[in-house]
Amino acid sequence: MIGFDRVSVSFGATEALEDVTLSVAPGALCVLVGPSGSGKSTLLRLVNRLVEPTAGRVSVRGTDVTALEPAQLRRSIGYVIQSVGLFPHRSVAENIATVPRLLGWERRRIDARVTSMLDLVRLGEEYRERYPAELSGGQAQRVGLARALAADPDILLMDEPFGAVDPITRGSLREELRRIHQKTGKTVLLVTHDPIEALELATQIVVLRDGRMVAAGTPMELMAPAGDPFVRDLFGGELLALRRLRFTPVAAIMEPPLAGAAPGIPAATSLWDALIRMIDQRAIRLAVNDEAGGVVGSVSLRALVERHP
Amino acid sequence: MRRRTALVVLALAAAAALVAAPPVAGWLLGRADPYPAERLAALALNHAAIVGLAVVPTALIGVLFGILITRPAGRPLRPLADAVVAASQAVPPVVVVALAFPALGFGAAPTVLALTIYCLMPVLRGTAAALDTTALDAVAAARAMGLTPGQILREVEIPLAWPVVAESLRVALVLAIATAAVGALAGAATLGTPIVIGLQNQNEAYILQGAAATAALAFLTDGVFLLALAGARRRARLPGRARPLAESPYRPG
Repeated sequence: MIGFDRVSVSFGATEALEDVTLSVAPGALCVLVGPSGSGKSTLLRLVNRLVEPTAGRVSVRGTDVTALEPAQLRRSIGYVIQSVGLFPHRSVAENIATVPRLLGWERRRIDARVTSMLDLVRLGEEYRERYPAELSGGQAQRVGLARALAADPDILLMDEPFGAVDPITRGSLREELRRIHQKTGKTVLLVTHDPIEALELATQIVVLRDGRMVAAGTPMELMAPAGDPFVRDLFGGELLALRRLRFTPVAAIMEPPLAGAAPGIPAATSLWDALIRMIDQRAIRLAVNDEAGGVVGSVSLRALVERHP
Repeated sequence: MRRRTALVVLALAAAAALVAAPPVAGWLLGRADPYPAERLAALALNHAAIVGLAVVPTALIGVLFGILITRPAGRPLRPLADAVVAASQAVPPVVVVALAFPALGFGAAPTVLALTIYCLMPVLRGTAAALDTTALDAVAAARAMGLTPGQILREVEIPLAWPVVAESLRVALVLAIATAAVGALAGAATLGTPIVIGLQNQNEAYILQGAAATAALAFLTDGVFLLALAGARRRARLPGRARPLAESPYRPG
C-alpha cells in the first residue's frame, strides 16, 4: 500500500532520513516510533508529499508519488496532526465536510457522511453546529479524526495524534482508534514518541533513530529477549518480560481442566491479565472458560512462568 | 464589546459636533462671528470625499501587497516593502503636500496623494502581520488535506486574518480623516480650511470649530465602522467573543 525504497531526505546540511526501505501492507496499523529528531514525522510526511525525498522512491498504491499531483494525492489520504488544526471559523460539520466538498460531493451525500462520521467518533448530532472553540481537547481530536476519514481514504496518516491530550483521554482515543481501524480496515501510519503506545496499537512497528531505521517488526518480535539493546531499552528494558505477557492469550499455555481451580477467565484473556487475577485472588491456578462459560481448561502460575513465549 | 466601544465613540462624535456648532463655539470663546454651519457641513462632505479617494486605493494596495509579501513567491520582496512603507510614514504628510504641490497644482490632488502614502503602512503591516500569525496549525492542516495555495488563502487565511486587517483599515481611515485637515494649506477644501483662516485672522472660534468638526467626523466614521464590523461578525455566526489570535482555540481537557 505504501512503499519506501532507499529513501533519504536532507534539509540543507542535516540528514533527516538515510536510506530507509520499508513497505506497509494494506490494512496494517504501522507505528513509527523513536526519540524526537529521529525522522519519524519526516517519513510520514513523505507519503502525501509534504516532504520530498532527496534520493529514493516513495510509492502509494503502487504509484510513484512524484507522478501524482500533490493536492489530489493529499485529498486521497487522511491526515491527523497533534495540534488538530480545526478551522476555528467553521462549524464541526463544515470542518468534517472539508475534503468531500473539495472533491465536489453532492450536498446530501456530504450531510449523510458528516452524520456517520460523528457517529463513528462517538460525538452526538448536537456537535454538528458547534465551533472548535467550544470543544474540549479530546473532542477536538475526535473531530480531527472524523475530518481525516470523511472522504473515506484508504490510507490514514497520524502525526502524534494523542500528544496534546491528558492521559485518560489519550487512553480512550487509542481505544477508539483501535476500534475504528478494526472496523474500517484502513491502512494507518502513525507517529509517536511513546513506545508503550506503539506496542499497544501497532500491527507493525518501525523504530527510527537519527534518521535510520534500526528495527522493524511486530510488537512481539521487537520485544524478543535477544533484540537490539537500543530497541530493548526503548520498549522498557527488563520490564519487557512483563510487557510481553500482554500479547499472548492464556489459550497458548492452557492445561487440562483441574478441580479446585479458582473462578474462570475467558481463553482470550492475556497472560498479563491472568497474572493480575492470580495475584489478586491469591490463586496459583485459574479455570479457563469458553465463550458459553463452560470450563475448557486451566492455567497455572507455573506454566505462565515457564512456558510464556 | 465592539458594540459598546462603538457607542462610546459615537457619543464622542456627538460631543465634538456640539463643540463645532457655531453658537456653542462662539459662546465658548466669546466670539460673535463663528464659522457658519452650512459652510462647515459642505467642507465636511468635501473632507470625506478626499479621504475616500485616498483610503480606497490605500486599502487595495495595502491588502494586496500584504498578501503578496506573505506568499512564498513574494517573500523576497518583504524587506523592500517594509522599508518603503516605513519611509512612507516617516515623511510628514505636510511635506508630501508641499512637494507634490508644484507637480499636481493647487487643490485636492496633493492631499489625496499625501494621505494615500501616509496610510499605507498601517494597512500593509496589519495585513502582513495578520497573515503571518493566523492559526498556523489550521493552515498546515489545510495544506495536508489537499487545499491548493489559492484555496488556503481564500478559505482559511483571509477569513481568519480578516478581523486584524479590518482593524488596520480602521486605523488608516481615522488617521486619514485627522490628517486630511493639513490639505487646507495647499488649497484643498477640508475641515482644515477654517483652521487656516482662523490662524490668519486670529479667529479662535474658527480654529476650534475646524478642529472639533474634524474630530467629530473621525469619531463618527470610527463608530460606524465598528458597528459594521460587529454586524459582519454576527452574520458570520462566529463565536461572539473576539479571541486574541495567539491563544489556542482549544480548551484543555
